[in-house]
Amino acid sequence: MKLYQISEPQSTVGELVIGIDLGTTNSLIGFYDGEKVQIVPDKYNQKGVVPSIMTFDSNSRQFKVGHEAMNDLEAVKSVKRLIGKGLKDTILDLYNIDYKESSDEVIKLNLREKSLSPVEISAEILKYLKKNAEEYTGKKVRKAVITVPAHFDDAARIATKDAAKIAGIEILRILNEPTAAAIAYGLNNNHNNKPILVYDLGGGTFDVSILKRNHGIMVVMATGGDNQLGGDDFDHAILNMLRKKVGQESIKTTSDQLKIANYVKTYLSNHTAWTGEFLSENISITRTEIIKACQQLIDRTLQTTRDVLFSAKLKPQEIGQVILAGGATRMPIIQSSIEKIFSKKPLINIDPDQVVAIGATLQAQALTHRGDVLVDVVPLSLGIELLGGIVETIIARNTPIPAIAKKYYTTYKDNQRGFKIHIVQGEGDTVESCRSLARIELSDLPEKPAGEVKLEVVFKVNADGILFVSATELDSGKSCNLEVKPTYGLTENDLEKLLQKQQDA
Amino acid sequence: MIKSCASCTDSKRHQKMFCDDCGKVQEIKLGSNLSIFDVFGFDVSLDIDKEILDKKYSELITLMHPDKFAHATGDEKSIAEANTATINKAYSILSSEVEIYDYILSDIKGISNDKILEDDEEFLIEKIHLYEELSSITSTEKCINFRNKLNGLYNNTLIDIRKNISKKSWGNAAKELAKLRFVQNLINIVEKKEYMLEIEEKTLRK
Repeated sequence: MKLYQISEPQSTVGELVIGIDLGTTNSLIGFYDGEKVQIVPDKYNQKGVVPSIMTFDSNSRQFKVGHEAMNDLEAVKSVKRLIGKGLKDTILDLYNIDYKESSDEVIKLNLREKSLSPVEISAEILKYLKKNAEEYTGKKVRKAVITVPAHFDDAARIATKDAAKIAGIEILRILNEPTAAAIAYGLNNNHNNKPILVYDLGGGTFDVSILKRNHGIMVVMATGGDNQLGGDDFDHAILNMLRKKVGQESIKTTSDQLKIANYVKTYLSNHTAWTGEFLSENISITRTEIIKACQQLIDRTLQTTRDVLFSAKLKPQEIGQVILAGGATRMPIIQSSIEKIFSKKPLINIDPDQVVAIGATLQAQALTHRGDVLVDVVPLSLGIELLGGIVETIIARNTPIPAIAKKYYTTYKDNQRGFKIHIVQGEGDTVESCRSLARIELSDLPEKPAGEVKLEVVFKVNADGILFVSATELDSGKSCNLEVKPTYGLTENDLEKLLQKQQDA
Repeated sequence: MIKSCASCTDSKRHQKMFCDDCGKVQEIKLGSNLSIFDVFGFDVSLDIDKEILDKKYSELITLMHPDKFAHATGDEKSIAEANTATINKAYSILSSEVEIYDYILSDIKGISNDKILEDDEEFLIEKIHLYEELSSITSTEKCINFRNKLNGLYNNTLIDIRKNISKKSWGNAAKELAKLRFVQNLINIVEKKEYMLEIEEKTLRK
């Protein structure tokens, strides 16, 4: 194996400026070397692409991450699809893993003798990246910018923050992935001042964001996406087509089959036909065939793209540039579909696997050294459940962050002593069509006739897109100490225990 | 806005945003002494120049965004965050005619919305007709016609509000504003409908 040339550190003073792309299929870590961003290479991959796969090795009693975990059939993959979710939000059966110990609120995956939450698994991936960066640069990693899909909800953002905490990384900022891609392309160089659209098809998530330059700052105009659609789904669609081809449609999915499907997808990005062996049969596949197999998925991404354009009140011809991010955008059909909508060639000259990590690192550099300011938005509307299960929006999606909104409520019964607030996130009008985030309760209200006790509810969203809610009873000025605890994910107690375990280790 | 700094103990009075003496960021507190127009350094006005607004917004954000305080003490960072939220809110109001009028009437003139809940009968009937027309739309072409009609109504209502405001007839202005808001909502609904119908018509043609 080739040894990496490690250049003299530029300066030993100051901390390392770090950006991390914690992806569904692959993760990367970058640092700023004083002049430019470098992605830390992995010993198995020069480009620094580390598969987001983790397993527990019973012999060495150690966690294994990335390429070293790949050949373990029991290894956990795509854990990002589970982060900040509960049992009913997700189809765990796809994971081929024992999840008996999960509850409605928290998912626990049984990996040999270990029982782990998605947060802990993500933390192991982060620790691996951190170690890679520390060994490569000879410096300590303490703070980092970490990216998440733009439409990640509050629970998933908090869970990502918790994972970083467990890995011993302080999050400087949570950055949205498409925003990171836009930063990597250096929007300052965009002279025509027209809005930019980012089409980000990651391994397990899909995001579209539109950004524009407003004098000295960058603002996100609108964002949207689908967190259950990604490059992995394209692999599954291709796999189904391959099985049909050999007449074995009902055979159980294995990682070997998926590897072939992924290979065929990549191969047909550069060639028009592939011939090879699948389930002991020799078959031939043309590019047209995989396009047909993936057409529905592609159409879904294009529809989301149009929806986001509509939200921003823009027509395709008003977009100055389209940026592609995520490995799956290498598929020629995606590039040509985008070109057809916007009548211009999309940009893909920065490696789409690395572009998000590069942008995250540039943002970390901007935070440390006072760079350009970027204003992102709330990805999904935040609201409160009213009587009858109707949702009242408090902060609408695409509101610039940090954001604040206040609402006033009164009691609806005589001598009502308590007031429950159910916080939800999503675009539906009813509670059922939204995601439940948290429930908080104000108690010991003064006994008064209905409508005479007035409450002020304040929603605040910080620059990381994380929500804080407070409620005050206006007459007494009594502000009940309310903290939004996500319905899903780790409790403060669980987190404390994990951090303690970390320190003891 | 003149206030004394919370961070340094100097009793001298000084300008908003940053303390003249210790340079620490100061909280922007909207209220009777400070309007969203003041935050942007504008006079209270019905007409805000979008270009100047955007430029000023960018200046304020560059000064105040919490990312500029990434390594500051917790206090300064949280004040910067609250201030940016206030600036964002003010910017969104100043970017919309309806919101500017609403702000002037309710926050500056103190006209309570509760008093104008009741529509005059004439507009109530018009409302019903508009709803009926909206629900009968089945093509993008009809959407466009209806949207044009609403835009006309919007512009006429706007003229009425301005007349009432210049006559200092606040109550009537508030009534017209409720109408304007209704028409604005309807325009949003019809735009959405047009978009959905466009998709449907495209799939049908395929």
